[in-house]
Amino acid sequence: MSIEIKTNSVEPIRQTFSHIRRRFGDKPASRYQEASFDLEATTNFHYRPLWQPDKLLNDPARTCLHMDDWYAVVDPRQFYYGTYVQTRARMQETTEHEYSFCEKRGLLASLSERQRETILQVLVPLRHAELGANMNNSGIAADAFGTTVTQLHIFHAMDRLGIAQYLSRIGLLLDGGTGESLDAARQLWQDAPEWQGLRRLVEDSLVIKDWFELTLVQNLISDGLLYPLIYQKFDETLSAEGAGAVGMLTEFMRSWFAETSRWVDALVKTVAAERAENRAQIETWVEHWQGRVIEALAPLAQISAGQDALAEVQEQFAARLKKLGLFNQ
Amino acid sequence: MSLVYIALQDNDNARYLVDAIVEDNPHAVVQRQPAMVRIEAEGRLEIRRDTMEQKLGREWDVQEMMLDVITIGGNVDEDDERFVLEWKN
Repeated sequence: MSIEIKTNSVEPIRQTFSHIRRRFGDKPASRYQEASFDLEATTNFHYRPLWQPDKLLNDPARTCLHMDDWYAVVDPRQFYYGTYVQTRARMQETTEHEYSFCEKRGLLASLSERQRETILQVLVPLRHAELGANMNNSGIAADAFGTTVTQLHIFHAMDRLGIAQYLSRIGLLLDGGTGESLDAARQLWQDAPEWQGLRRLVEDSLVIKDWFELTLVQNLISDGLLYPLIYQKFDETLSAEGAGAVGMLTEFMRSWFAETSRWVDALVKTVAAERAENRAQIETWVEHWQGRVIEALAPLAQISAGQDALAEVQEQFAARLKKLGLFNQ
Repeated sequence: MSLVYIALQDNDNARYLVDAIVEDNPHAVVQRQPAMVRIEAEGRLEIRRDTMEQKLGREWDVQEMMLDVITIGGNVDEDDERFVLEWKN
């Protein structure tokens, strides 16, 4: 008896969901596409929100910028919930390992009294700024339009809580787990003159109404200047003084900043390129807030990496803006 | 001239790979078979790391493609930047 092996090919009736097919055509879609595009409801709302009766529940008009299609903004990392969580879990595993290594070997014990003081004064109070960033990004996720945009911001909001926790743990490593450093950092955040500029900036940003302005202020301008200053320049200063072990504890922030800058750039670039009015408005906002941020960071640069470092960071930031197609005319 | 080919499993990973190959090798012919995608090309077929990274939005190691490969035909020339199939005789 002979057996004949035959392949039978079954064509699937649908390759993907209808709303994904309408956008990308009838072909197999990536998970990112299926988990991101055209998910937010746009029609058939029964009521207008009581807290903002002039707008719909999901309304693209919560920013003054116009996009024909907000889904033109895509995440270059293609994060949806699954991939985002997996990536962060991996990063966290590495970071946990570094924290426990630091603790086991008592690497922070070798810091001089002055270095210890500087770290307590510069790094730990930043946890309050991170909490502000968390609230801002959660707010944007609520107000923004288009799932590709909102998911970027809610992931970002969660990241900020994580970073605030790592900063707190640096404090706890330094004070032997008593929590004194956290109380001291709160005092600094509320009273120390060098922190009042940043505190005022964070508090002012909490009440910005236009969500796109807020994402510019928080994620492009403030982070774009603060992260390189503190986590790169200040880290270099510490390393040069022989306190390189602290770099192990802030590595998460550096790799996180490099990774997330890519979506911030993609967002600003796409929206600025869509219309001249968008670009002009973005440039106005950047001009206004950049000065505020630099003013807020100047006293912090003084106690961390120095004014020259801040000037260098500003230069790099100007180059970044140019790459985004801003201030080129 | 002679034909080189590569067959990949038809999954979420390999779809990016197919897109990248088609972009870098306009002369390649894609055949979709049950659970498998076979790509044939006259002379030479190249998989480039930079194109894949663009498609995926993350860093990509050329050897990651091995996870989805079923079979290949051709002499392999591989480095950190690319994976090339061609007949060298």
